[in-house]
Amino acid sequence: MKRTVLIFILLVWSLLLSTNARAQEFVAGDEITIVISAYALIETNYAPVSLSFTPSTAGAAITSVSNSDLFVKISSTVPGGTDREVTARISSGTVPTGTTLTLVSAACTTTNSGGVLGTPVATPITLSAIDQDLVQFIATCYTGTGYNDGYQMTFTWIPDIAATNYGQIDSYSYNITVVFTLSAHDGN
Amino acid sequence: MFVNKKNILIFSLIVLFSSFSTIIPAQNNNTAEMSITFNIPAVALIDFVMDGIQTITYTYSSSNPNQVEQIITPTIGDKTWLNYSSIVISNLTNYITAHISSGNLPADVSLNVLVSSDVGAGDGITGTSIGQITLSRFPQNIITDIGSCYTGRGIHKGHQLTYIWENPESYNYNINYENTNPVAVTYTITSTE
Repeated sequence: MKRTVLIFILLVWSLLLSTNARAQEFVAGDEITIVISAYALIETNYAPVSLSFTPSTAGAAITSVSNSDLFVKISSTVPGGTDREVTARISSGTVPTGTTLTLVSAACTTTNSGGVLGTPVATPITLSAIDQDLVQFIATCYTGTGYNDGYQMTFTWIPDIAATNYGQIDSYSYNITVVFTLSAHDGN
Repeated sequence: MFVNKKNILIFSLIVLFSSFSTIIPAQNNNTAEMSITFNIPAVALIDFVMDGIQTITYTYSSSNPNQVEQIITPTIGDKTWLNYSSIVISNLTNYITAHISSGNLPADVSLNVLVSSDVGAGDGITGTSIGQITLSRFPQNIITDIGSCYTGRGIHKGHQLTYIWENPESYNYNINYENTNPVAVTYTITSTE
């Protein structure tokens, strides 16, 4: 008799357990949270940029030199209603005395890109140690990852105010480092 | 022994945290660096520009035994302008020399060249003219201390060159002299390097 009672109790208990297990399954599928983090990735195509003045006519001034080999690639997501900028500055070295280096971005290439790729600033910036905008109003987008994908950058090197500074130009080789930044979105 | 195990645990935690802190900035990859190389080669370019044709003819007439005549046409030659472009290495300068590179002058006659100052049509540190020299077969400085500059290209730019014949008092008109060969004067720009 005692044994029968024990078996009964065990049966009820196991029944309860199996009910509990079902109840747990129900709860487990309830909430799904998808997180899209805001992110900002920037990279160049590592094109070497080398600029050289090569005057060829006696009596003539050295003329401007340009290089458009560099492309800047980005990936960006932003919270709704916010945007980012691509900025550039000189982080080390200085542009040779008597000369000026300007930089302007083209609109992003369209082949492999998508999203809100922003608007390039039309007027070339004169590079300095302070960040200046090259492309504005970038929201969620990607430029593509190919060598010639992204924002094509045109560097132009010119003698600056010749009347006062031409005599300061020294024959030499110089190196500078330029840093491109994909800024934090303006909702930050 | 127990203490050691605890230490190991703490150490592992520190390593774990520090590796996290390394990873976090790496993910925030919102800058890209690049290097730009500038090259300014040394430059020394020189050229003439002439306003028309620069021919100075020197002859004399002795048809009448009692009379000789010098004929120099034109009396001076000032139609040539010297243009140059120069980029120098720091603390160095360029200079320009002149010499007679071919042909012979009539005996006892010398040819001078007067080099004007730069007229200021260009920019930078143009050279200093030495003034007037008597040309010879040996190069002599005519413009020195040229820094990084350009004179502009064309007539009325750079330095004006004026050729002047000179006859010594002792000129012997009895020497029969015939020479129809032109005289060439060469100008050379060189670095003080």
